[in-house]
Amino acid sequence: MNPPFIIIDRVRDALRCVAAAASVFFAVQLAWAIWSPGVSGQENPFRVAVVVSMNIRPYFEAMEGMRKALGDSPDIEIKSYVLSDDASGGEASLARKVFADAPSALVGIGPEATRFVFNRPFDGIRLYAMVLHPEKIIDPEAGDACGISLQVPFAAQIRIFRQTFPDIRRIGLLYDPANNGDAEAAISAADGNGAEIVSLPVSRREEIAEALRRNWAKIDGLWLIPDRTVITESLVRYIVKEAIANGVAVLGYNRFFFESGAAMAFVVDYEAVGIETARSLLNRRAGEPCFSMAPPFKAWLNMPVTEALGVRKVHPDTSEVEVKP
Amino acid sequence: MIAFGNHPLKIPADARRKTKRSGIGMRKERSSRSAVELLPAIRMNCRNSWRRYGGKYMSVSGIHLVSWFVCVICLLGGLSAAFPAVAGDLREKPDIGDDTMLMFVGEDLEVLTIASRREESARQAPAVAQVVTRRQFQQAGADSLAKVLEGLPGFHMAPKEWGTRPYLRGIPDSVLLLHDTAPLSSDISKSFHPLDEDLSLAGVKRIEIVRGPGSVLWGPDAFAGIVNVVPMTGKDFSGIETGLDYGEPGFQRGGYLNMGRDGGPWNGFLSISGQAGEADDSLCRVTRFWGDGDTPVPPEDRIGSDRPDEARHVEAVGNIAVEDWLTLSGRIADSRGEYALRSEDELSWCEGRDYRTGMLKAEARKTLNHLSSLRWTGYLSRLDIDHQIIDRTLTQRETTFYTELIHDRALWSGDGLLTGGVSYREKHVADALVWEGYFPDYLKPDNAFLLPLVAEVDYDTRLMSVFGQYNHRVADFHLWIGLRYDDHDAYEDRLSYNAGLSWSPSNAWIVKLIYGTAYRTPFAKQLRDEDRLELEYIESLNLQFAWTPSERVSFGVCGFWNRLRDHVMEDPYAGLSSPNRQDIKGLELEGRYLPIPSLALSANLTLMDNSGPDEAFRLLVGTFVDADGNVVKIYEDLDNPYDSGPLALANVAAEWKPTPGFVGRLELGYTSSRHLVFPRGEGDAATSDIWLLDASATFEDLPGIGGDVTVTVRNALDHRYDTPGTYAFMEGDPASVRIMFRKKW
Repeated sequence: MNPPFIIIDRVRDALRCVAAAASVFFAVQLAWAIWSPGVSGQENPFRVAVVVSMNIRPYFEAMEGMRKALGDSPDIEIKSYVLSDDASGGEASLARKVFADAPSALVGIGPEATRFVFNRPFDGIRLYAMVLHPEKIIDPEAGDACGISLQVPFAAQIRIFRQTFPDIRRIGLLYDPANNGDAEAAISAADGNGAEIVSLPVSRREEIAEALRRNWAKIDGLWLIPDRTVITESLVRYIVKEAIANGVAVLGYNRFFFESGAAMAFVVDYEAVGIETARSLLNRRAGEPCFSMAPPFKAWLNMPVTEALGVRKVHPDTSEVEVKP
Repeated sequence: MIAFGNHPLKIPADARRKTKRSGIGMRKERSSRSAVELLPAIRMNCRNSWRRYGGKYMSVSGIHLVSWFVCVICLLGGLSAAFPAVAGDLREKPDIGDDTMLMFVGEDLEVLTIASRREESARQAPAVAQVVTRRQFQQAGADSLAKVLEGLPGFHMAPKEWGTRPYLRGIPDSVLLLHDTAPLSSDISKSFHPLDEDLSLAGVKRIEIVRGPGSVLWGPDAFAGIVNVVPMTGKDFSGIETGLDYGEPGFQRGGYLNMGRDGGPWNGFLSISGQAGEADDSLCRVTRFWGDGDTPVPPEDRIGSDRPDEARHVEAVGNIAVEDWLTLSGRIADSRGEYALRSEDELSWCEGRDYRTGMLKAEARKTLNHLSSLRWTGYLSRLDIDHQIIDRTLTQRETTFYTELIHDRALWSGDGLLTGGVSYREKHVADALVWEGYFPDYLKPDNAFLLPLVAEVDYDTRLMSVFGQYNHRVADFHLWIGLRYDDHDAYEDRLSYNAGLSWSPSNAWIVKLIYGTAYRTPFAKQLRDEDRLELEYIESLNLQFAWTPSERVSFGVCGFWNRLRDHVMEDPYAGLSSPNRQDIKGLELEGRYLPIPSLALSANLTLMDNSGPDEAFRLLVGTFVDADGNVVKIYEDLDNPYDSGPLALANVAAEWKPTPGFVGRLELGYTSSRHLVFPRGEGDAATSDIWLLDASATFEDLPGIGGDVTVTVRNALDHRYDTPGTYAFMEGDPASVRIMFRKKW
């Protein structure tokens, strides 16, 4: 017989043995868990329970970042729990599981997980990550709310955009007033950076085309912020396309905007969010104060689009901007 | 003596099995006496004839069904009792008023569902898995599933007169093809693969691919791999999209309409598409043959001149979902293709296949709590195949009913995930064709009296299964083990299993070691002829290493070892081979590099080698009745090499995105020469190496038009080559061009 296949046979036999042994092991473990659900493992490890909202790549990357950053701490034990996206009222049961191990810290990745972590009594360290608006989720009475959000500060966005495109002064802001209280924050952030915000409020998607058509001549740039009326995949493509056709530079907030033709897009590094969350956790553990922080991000400058638009740009002397040819 | 050339007239000896004889003129005859009249007209439903296999009786299936579902209910009830969370109170999901998901708009979340029967990232999946997104295949100009798959490692899409025959990792017809997790393949014929225009990609969101056996979670026929075509939903697309395409040669034209709506608590999607064009312009010389049903048309009247009609394909796919708990979906398609076949004797004739298929599926999901959920799936599908052979049309039908219940449960504080389920499948096949003899011989001028022997077989099969897979994560390791027991009523029961280990110490790289088994359902001919079936069986060992140090560089290598047992090959001349064994080992390499952000270079290479005995065919060359009235059969043994397809495959591609509105792509595909054995054993030949260059360009948001245009040129250098057809070599596709225009309204 071909020597590799002898090896394969042996590996296969070994795997069968492993599979059989694993089956027995897991069966015993399962039975043990049923009869002794409160069994504990190591002595006095610093247990971190990470609750993840759902199985999507950005959350996985943040989780990986956490594991990577905490991997050098042998006394830290991480356990993860993945919620489904339609997590319902069985939280009490999950809470029993989470707290059965007496975790020293709870981390929520994603909004649902954050709500789970913060909206119940807990004396240990609590952190959130990968949430756009943590303040809308966390009970205001929870005084220790801190973590890494997904919101790139509006002031930073407009500052970098204005530094890069000094000639773009009139910036349209497309939003639905019913959805987004962020618009006011964005407008006030623009004030301090010499930009004039042209509000483009819409209450329905059908109004977007008309709102833009009436205002193309009044704006040099268009700022898109997370808004459930304005932001869908097809709408983003449409808006960016129309903006380019009207000579308007678009400012977006993830790589899809960039790929669709935005002149600049702020791209969050999800793994770095996990790493920063882990660092915050270690700081908290060391007794340092708690902060709510913005995510690590880069501003991607879309050179072909800016050249096509003919807009003057200044390469900012900052590592926050990455020029993409 | 009753024999014609070296094609036999077989007299079934086993009267227990009842087969509708469609001898002369394909009549489902009940009588007899003529050249084929010596064949006893036996007609009996195989449903009855297959009652006994392996000492079991099908009549107990109903009892089995009830018993199994009682067991399931008890099991779930027991789980509820054992795990209080299962029985926990179920409240409405509160609106937490957060727009976090808006941050990920348009991003590729890279999930697939076929590796664990739940959404997970392809990288983390317990399988050698890959996802091709809609954007990727559109920008590559791929207008069919075959075009998508041929660029992936391990896949070879062999052109045939009637469409495409898939090879995966050296095994023909070995891919379980799913549409929205419902199988598209058929028990009627292993050559039914809707890989071309007969499966529209207009409403497809992504294509999930797993290389390696998957019988544990998908049952029979997930042999060398699984391909799942995932349709879009109203959540993926809201609005209206239209598309038109035109291509040459053959005046190819088509169009589609996609409509999606996200209405909050519900969403729906509908895609309607159509395609028509000349698929084959070859000349058919034999234009009349079947005659009056008793004797063929006289040889002098058979010859004429004809060409295949246009191919046409119409398809509608739709789904509607209520919240996240109930989804109804369906697919109907009518696909007709005509083509010319040619024998090695330069006889040519026209055939056609008309597939009419319909599928209705329902899915319900209930999240019991954060740790567990229940999913139920049921579908009913129907496939009618009209097979036109010169001037006669034969109809085959298959109806499938399937239902399954799956329970997921997280264990060990979320480190473990247990997926368990039960399923029941029932198939009714009517008039499946089982051919005897070598069809081209009947067309020869020296045959004035005989028609081909075709049996039309009815049979029902029932399958009940229980399966489970457990995943456990320990530090950087992920382990899984799975087991499935299939209880067949028509052939032997099967145990399938898998086990694996992955190690990912960082986000940059991951190593997976995977072992799995699978088996295949038998050919209709096997079911008719074999007293005791040995099902085709595969064991596979995979070792994969994937390295992604940065966004600009990625590299992956996967070694595999496939061990086939009791496999059977089908030869148009010699019929089915005796069960045999083969070992196939291979290496798949793929890499991607972006020297500059606007240019992506990618390549993959598949190398394989197989070893094992030649395939042994026992060919019935003659039958006669001796002086005592006994039927005597004369057999001849034939040995043919195993057909692994090409042993080396490669693709090199360059994708250039100089501006956001343009994507240009060049792809060079290589297929190594194939050693072929003529079915009659008269010698062998080899095809030459084939190099094909494809090019595509996509212009997005064209000024003034507002739509996307993709221009695709296949075989751009118009390389002329031969490729194995059904009975003889055929010419490969010449240069072709296709223009697709898409617009969202």
